[in-house]
Amino acid sequence: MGGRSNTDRTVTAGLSGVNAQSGKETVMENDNEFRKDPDKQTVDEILADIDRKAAISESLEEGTDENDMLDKEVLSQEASYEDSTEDGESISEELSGADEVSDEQAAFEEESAEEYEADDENEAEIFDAEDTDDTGSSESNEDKTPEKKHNIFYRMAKSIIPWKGDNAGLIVRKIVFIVALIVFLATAIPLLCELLSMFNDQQVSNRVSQMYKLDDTDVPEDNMDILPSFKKLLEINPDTVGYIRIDGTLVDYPVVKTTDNDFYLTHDFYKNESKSGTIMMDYHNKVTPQGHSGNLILYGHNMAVGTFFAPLNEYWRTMYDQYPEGSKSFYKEHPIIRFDTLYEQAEWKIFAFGIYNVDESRGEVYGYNLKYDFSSEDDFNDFMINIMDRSDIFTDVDLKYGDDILTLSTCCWPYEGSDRTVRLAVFARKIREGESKDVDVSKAEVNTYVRRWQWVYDKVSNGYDWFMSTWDRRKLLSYSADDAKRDGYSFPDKTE
Amino acid sequence: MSRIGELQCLIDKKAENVVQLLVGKGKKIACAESCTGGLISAAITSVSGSSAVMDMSICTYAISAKEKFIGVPPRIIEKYGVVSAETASAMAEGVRKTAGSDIGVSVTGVAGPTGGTADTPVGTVYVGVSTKDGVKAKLVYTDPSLSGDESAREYIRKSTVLAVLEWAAEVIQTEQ
Repeated sequence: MGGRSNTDRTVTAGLSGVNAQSGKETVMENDNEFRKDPDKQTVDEILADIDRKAAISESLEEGTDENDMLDKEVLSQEASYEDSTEDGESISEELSGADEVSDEQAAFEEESAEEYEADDENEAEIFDAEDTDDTGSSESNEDKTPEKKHNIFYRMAKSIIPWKGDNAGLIVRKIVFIVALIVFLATAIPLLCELLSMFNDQQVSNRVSQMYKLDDTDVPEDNMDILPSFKKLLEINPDTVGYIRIDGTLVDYPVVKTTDNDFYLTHDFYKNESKSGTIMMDYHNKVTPQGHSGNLILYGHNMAVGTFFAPLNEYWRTMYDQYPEGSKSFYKEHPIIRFDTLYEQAEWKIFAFGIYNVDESRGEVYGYNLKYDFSSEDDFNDFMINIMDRSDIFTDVDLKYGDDILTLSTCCWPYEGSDRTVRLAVFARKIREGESKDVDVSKAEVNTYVRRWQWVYDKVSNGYDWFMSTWDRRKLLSYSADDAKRDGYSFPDKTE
Repeated sequence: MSRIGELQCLIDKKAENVVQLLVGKGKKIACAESCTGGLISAAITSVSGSSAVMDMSICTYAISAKEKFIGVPPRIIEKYGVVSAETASAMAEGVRKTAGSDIGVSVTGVAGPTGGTADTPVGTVYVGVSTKDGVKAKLVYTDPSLSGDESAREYIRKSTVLAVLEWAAEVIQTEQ
């Protein structure tokens, strides 16, 4: 209103250095406008009066000499306010162009310009007085602050948008800048929205996580009843089958299972659509009071913000951080997974992790996630040898037929051009009854001749297949000497 | 004398120095070369009496050869690339252990004029030296334009040989 008009005026005068000709004309235009539309001006005027009277009355309340002086100044400004308001609006109008100017108009403009300057001075004095007067009206200050802000926007707009009077080069620069800004916003905004949605998904998960008590000691003895900790989760989602946590990481989520492996890729625990999905168990797996499948397979997204199964990538990524000693740091710090099913609390020792191709056109696809149960000892042994051949690490954890296996699967992009053809899988086995949960991580070794697929061999070693099965099968307790003889495998020298 | 000729004179002198040092200390050396194609072992074996100090030299030009004969872990090449400090370290370590020598030296790089990338431009060579105390590798970059009107490839290869021999001499001197 009135205040804004003053602001416009100040900015325009300050920035564009209005010449007398254009100034004259605009004043006249505005003056005409004013006469045509008296109501509008009256409203402006009334509101401006209210502002000023409020300032004056506050100053009077203070009753200091300084404020008396200020009052006089304010009053003098008030007297010239009507014209100054017109000036402010008119100079804004000036930006839209100027026509021919008459002598009368010129004379009028000069007169107005003088008043305009006088107003500026008065206003500046008022500001000074208010700034230096500790006991002065804070409201008056507050009134002026938004005006300054508006000035900045106005200036910014003028420096960005092609304006009449700009030379061709400047217009081109401004257009280029605007195009670049649009391109930037068009890419940044969706990205920002996606990031915000991921963080939001994590917030939802955090709320859910608080409903599950990992240290619950109220565990039924016979494993036939659902653990009490799951009751709240089951009330929200009856598809709940477990809860996974890796200490010291963001992996801390409920696990669900439904009739397919698709729904929870795009839905959260509350079954609302979500890019992050939920950690889900393969629908082929069974979790019953009598027990569960021999190989429980869990899937989770590898989110860019590090949530859900993204931390699993650290197992693979931190291998061979240093040569000749692979640092294996992430594994060393996180060798245990906590995974509870509805009926049982359990901890699992990681014994392998590796990357797997899922695109047949790029080479062998090994079905690490297609083995839900082990039909025999040979079946178990064969699967484990295949997993270890493809594992980037050999750990000190031994295996035997009858062990429960947990497979965690997520996406990963280990090579340039990996696209969506590679999965990372982490394998763990349940800690046996009476077994210590300690793992000697110092004995972990890098599998230097790890089995990959042809696309990797082509990319890394000009097609040379370097694979050698070097896992020490003594760690596979159910693998007998007869099995070794049948497979043509020689156990390493026991004295090593 | 041409630049490459000057380099060759320096190489001959340094090779002699290396052999003397090895004889003096009673140590043996083994080499694993890639882009130098045997120039290091040629320089050492050109010195009379080198048979007492030279155990083995292998030119592992192909990646498969690096893996098969001197045990360079494929995982290293996969993670760091064949032209890298880690691969040079693995080569030096591998050849030293394969030959049972006291010192292993290695070279892997891009002598050009083709094969350069943004990360490993032509002239990028990593050299490694392994002893029983550990293994080290460093980058030896030779600007191909310094070769003037002579073969940049030859210039890079000879510069690398000189750098390896100088580093080997330093290591042998400090070796107990």
